[in-house]
Amino acid sequence: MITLQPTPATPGPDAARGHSAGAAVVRLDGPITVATAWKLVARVAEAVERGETRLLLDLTRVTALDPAGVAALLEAQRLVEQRPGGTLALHANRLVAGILTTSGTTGRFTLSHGAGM
Amino acid sequence: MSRVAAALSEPSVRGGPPPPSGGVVISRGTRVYLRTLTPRDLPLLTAWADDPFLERMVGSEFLHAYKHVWDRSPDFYEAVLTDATQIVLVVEAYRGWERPVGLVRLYNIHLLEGYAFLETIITDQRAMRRGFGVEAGKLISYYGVDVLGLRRIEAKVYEYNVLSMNALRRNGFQKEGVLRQAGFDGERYWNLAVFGILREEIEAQRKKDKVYLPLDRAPEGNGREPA
Repeated sequence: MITLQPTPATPGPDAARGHSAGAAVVRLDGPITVATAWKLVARVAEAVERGETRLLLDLTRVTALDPAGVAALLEAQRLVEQRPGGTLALHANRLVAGILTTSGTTGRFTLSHGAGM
Repeated sequence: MSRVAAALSEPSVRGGPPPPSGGVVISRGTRVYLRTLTPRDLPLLTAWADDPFLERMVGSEFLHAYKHVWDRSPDFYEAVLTDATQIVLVVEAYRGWERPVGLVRLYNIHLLEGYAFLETIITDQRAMRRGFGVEAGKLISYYGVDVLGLRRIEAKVYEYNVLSMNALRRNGFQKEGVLRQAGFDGERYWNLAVFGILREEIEAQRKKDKVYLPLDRAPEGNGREPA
């Protein structure tokens, strides 16, 4: 059972792109909404094309998330998990965790709360 | 590239200049385009929320919330941005329309179950009967299917709003039922007609669309005169 424990917004690991305990970290800042959701999918697609199969999305600096953003997270998960051994985890802040709960999609994601997965 | 990824592709590659009112263009049709809501639209929301004609014809809960729940507070914009259950887009028309002509939104979005409700409000009375509402509803329905993965979209209309019912029918929606005396206009109760459309029906509608292929990002003209 996944226990949802939203983390307060803290600086994400390394830089916008890095690795954390074997997982490639993709950090996204600002809103992930109808206007910007494409960036999330594009960044994840780039990582998958580079051969990354274990991804951690650092969402601790996300400031807004709407249904398009949640749909993009679901699409990102699909892109990663269609690769053999592909796994995607989310490092969520309180806002993201709350919206995932509201949208009923919490159970669809693996939530990471620290180094490693 | 997956259909969702393609639909979510960078807005700039969809062609056309950025909207003068700000915001990001999400979808373009032949008559209208849909862009994101911006804080600069709040005065327009105020005017629309105070319009008795719109209240009578649409009875929008969105405008009602802005006016009565949020008391026209600018915080409403942030609340819409972080609302996990709706997507609100402004309807802009091309050429000669300097202000938005309306709003269109998908609300009560249930991503995992795959359904949502549609509301289309053409706020400018000069813009009615021009196909703007039909196209706006169509564009956001396509967005709902392509990006949100919706398999069903519903809409509710006052039975006296023949214009809206015809617009839904023209987009392939089917009347599925009636909510008897579910609407109240301040004087009497009215029936609400419930319309619905399924993904495969939306796809069938899409195949009927005339394909519009802008050749480049510049506005089209005749080569001698400005477009």
